[in-house]
Amino acid sequence: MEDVHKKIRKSYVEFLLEKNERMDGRDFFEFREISLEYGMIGTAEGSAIAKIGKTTVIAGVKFEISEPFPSDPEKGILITNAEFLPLASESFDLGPPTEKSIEFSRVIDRGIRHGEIIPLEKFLLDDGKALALFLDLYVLDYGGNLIDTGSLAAMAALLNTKLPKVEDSVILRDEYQGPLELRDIVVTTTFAKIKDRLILDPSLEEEDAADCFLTIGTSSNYMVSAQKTGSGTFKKEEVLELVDKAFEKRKDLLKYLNNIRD
Amino acid sequence: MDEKKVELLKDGKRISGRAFDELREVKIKLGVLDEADGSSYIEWGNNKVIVGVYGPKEVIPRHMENPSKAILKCNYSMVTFCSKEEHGKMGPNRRSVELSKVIREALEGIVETNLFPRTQIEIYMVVLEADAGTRIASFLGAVAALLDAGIPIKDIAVGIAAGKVGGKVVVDLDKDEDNFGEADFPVALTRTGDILLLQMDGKLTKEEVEEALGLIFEKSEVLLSKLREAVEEKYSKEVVKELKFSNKIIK
Amino acid sequence: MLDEKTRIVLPGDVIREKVNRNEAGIVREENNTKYAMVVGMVREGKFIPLEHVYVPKPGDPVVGVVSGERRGIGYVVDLNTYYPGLILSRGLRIKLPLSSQIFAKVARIESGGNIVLTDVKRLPMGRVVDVPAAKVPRIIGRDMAMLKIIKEKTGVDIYLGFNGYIWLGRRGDVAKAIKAIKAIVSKAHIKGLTDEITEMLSK
Repeated sequence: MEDVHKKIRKSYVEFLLEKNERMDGRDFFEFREISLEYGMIGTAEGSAIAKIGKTTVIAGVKFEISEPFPSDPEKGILITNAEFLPLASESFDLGPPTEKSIEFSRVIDRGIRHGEIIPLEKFLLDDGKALALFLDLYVLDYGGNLIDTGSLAAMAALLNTKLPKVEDSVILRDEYQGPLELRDIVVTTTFAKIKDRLILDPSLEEEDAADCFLTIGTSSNYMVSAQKTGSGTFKKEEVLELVDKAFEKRKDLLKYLNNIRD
Repeated sequence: MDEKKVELLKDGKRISGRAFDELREVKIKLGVLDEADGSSYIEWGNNKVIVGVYGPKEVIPRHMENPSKAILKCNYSMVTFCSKEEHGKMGPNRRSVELSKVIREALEGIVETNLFPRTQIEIYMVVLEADAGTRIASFLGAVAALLDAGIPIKDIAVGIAAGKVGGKVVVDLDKDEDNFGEADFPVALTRTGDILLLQMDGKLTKEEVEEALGLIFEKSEVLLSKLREAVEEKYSKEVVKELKFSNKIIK
Repeated sequence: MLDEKTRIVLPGDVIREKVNRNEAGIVREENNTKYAMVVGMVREGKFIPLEHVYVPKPGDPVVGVVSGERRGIGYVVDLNTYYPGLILSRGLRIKLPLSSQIFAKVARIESGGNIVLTDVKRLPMGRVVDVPAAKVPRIIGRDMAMLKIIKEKTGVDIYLGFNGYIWLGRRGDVAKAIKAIKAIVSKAHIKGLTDEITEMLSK
């Protein structure tokens, strides 16, 4: 139940932060309630739906046969796309991808790609063709912090993915080689800065009040992606503090992902 | 039509084991999304559709408004991973544009648009998994979401896709029957028998059309009860908006 | 909880019972027969809609937020509904900067699609939350009983609009008041709610 106007919301959020409080009573570095379901879409090679607070994102994986990129002929392909569905929010319209939805899919893709968690070289097929993994994300409900929710859904869908058998450059859709091999798990943690206070997992109202955000993607040992969004600024010390927090808070998300492959 | 000939009847019965006049299992849930004014989630066989509605609300740009009634904006879309055989493309295609129009015109037959001149009502239907009959399942989801939102309608309505397989008229085609059968005939109607949506492709004699319509009218009762049950279920306890899938692993 | 004495009504169902409030957008009449147009329930001989769109009518008390200005005409007000509210500058003695929160009455609805407001009272800066229009009567309660309990037990000043906007003052236990309102919204159809809310607020 949020305040209906941005300006009112902003002033209320700031009013509370001055007292070291958040609207929903959370600690500054606490995630909202998280839930995860996976494997529910029978037509996909992998699928998952993640919910953080009221934000809900569904992810699906499909394989196709393709040509490797000329710049990288020894590897298969990963393509990540996203759609902010109009049913998720009054602020989402029908139409081509917006700058926000493109940024969303590219930031999520970045961590997975640079974390090198998918062995793309194993996607090469005998005749020079390769497997392409399409990872598609759809926002179903927008309650703040889309990137972390999207990343969680994407990672869960990958963990849930089964690699199909390929015969004569044709994918056998009902036969599988086994689970998709993954070298590590990548998650993102997004922090908002509101009047010099740093908080994790901003809700919709907190997003409206924020000056800027920092999303940090981590694998077990590395920061694998980072994106500052919004027009405010960060100090160097703040960035370093948040990198530490990203590794710490990663564990809160891992516990939902660790059992997918039992 | 495909070259591959698939036997759709075995010993005079449907391959799925269903009777000619038997529908697949249908589950309806009202209220699954938080932001939307009304929402629903439908599972029909393996079809999975989620619907969100907004409105009535101001029309933007204003010059598009109708001074005597609300305009309906309907969008039917499918996610890229809703088909087993392939990865679809994001964005609208000719088929989804046609279905959006057909469903909109069906809903215009029941939504009380003249109560809200100069406004628009948005209905978004998203197919998460497809198994034949998605337009009919989406239509059902749209009606359920309108009920969830409290947007006034004349009467509840449901639809069934009838068809012909192995020379026999049947209801509720599954994917193989839709792909390899002899006719596909989706129809949606109100309780009072007003037909809101009707399409057909394939070959049917007049007698077969009559038989199919008879079956559709008869079996729509099953869906109407399911819709009522879904509404009763929503209010059987505290109303909670949540989206839950069948055959999945929950964390 | 829904009991044997309560029946769910769907659009298209015939209603023979008394309809509690203004029927616009809720019930229609054809050939002397009344039909529901929204989901509702029949309890103790009365039809009560469970969800409906707010249809503004003259005399309705409303809460709004000033969202713009029309030079020479007046102020545009967000009323959580499909037409904008309008406060005419002529005869207006108070200042209404952007984001001001107001309590007013609906004077008339113009054919061009404006909801003209009158008896405008500017409220101090508080929180404005929204609830579905169909739940407003339940938050008020019979003879204002429910609203009184919330105000008493939380010490929060509350203005409620038929349009579904609720203004809450900053003093008092606002979080508790919102918790109670959320509970009423999700359980409006359940019997014995007033007692349950009273108990919740007494803790």
